[in-house]
Amino acid sequence: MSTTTLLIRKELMYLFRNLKFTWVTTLILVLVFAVVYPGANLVACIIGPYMLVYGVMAHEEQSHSDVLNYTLPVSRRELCRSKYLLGMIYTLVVAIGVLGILAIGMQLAPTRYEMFRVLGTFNVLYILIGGALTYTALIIPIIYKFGCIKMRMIMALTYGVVFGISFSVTNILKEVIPQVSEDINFSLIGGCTLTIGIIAYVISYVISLNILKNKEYK
Amino acid sequence: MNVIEIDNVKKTLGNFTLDIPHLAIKEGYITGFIGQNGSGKTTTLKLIMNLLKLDGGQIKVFGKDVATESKQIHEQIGFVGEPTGYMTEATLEQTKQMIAPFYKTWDDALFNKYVKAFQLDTSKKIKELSQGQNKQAALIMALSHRPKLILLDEATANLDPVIRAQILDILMEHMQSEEVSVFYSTHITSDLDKASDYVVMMNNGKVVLYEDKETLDSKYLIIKGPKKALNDTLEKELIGIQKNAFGFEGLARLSENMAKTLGNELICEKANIEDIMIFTQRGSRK
Repeated sequence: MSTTTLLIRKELMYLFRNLKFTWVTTLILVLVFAVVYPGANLVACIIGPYMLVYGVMAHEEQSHSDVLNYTLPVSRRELCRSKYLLGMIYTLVVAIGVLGILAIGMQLAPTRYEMFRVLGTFNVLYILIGGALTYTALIIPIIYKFGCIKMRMIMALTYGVVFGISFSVTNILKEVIPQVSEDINFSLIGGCTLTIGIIAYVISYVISLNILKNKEYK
Repeated sequence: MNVIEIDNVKKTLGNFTLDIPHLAIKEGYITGFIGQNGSGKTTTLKLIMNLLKLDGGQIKVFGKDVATESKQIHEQIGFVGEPTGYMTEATLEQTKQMIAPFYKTWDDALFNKYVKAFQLDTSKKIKELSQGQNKQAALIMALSHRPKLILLDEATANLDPVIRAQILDILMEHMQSEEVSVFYSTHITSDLDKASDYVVMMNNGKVVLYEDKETLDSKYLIIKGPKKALNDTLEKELIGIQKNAFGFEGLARLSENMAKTLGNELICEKANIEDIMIFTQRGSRK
């Protein structure tokens, strides 16, 4: 097994065996946002990967086991790579889960989920993944640079901003889409969101790698 | 052969500067690393582990540069830092399951042997272990992959004498059965009396002493005497002289010159490591 795979395995073992509160809370929040209000699906998809990535990093920082990682026979590149691969794994799993909930919702309450029917399944998936990757891309280098504890206030503010934007955008789209649905290329929107997310993720990885290579543990 | 080679190393952290022109730790021996708090011991160990970046110079472990080949080096190092850094919500058994696969030379039988020796409950979470048990767990994790080099940073600090003795005994036992070098920092000098072949002393970021234990035991004396017996020649030989109304005392490394200057009025006492540390520190304050 490669070292990157071992690091991913280690983190997943620790998360699901020992940090039950973190993933259970994440699951509940994702379900609440995905089910209670359809417009909050993007928030659900952002919160899921964020909480799983942040939860483990915060715990490692608190118990100083982030230092342990750097004493193992692993390179900093492998550490960074494993974190970003995990972020991607969480994003895909949460996005597919949220899409599944949407699919059920569209069957049970078609009028409530009209907007998503118009957008199309794959476009919704691309937007969910793109949005989540973009947010995770923003968070990881900031945590590496400043640490989890210092970033808590900014995270709380970011939540509010993201939630507000998502809410507003969804409300606007709900009004606009039925009127202009014939003129908009939703595939383009979905594709662009996903592409932006992937590009942001790659740039974020390069930035994080640079931070980690020079990081010191005083 | 040297297991660690430190050349022209400089590191500045705030107001503190570590400056080691040259230090070579011999392979196959226990080297104690002493100094008062803030002398640079932990900084040196962190530089060896690549947890800190060098401002200048080079450190090699097993002939490999720590800055560029740390992954290969860490495969052969067992490190116990302060704090130990193990995941507090995991049990020792779970920690082993997560960490063991990273090491090609991990030995489960050895792990179980040391767990039994320390009588640790592997189903207890790391955060539920006492401070001493935590250190024991960290040492077990460090030894179980059969490293060639063991680095310990204050591994016995704040522990009761019984636990300290247990840890040192396991370390000595491990050394007898494995070809391993040990480099450990401590400010508990009695630990060095029990377990060390060489002693490196740090003060204010510099190496002030590097001797084998035999020389330390036989060649360092505390010289005491009346003031009138303290001549210029003797004063030059002494380290960390303390004078009072009645006389003086100082540390001396016995040499031919030294022997000649000793008169009948002087009292010579064997110096232990603690004495050497105190007098060396005193001497550097001038």
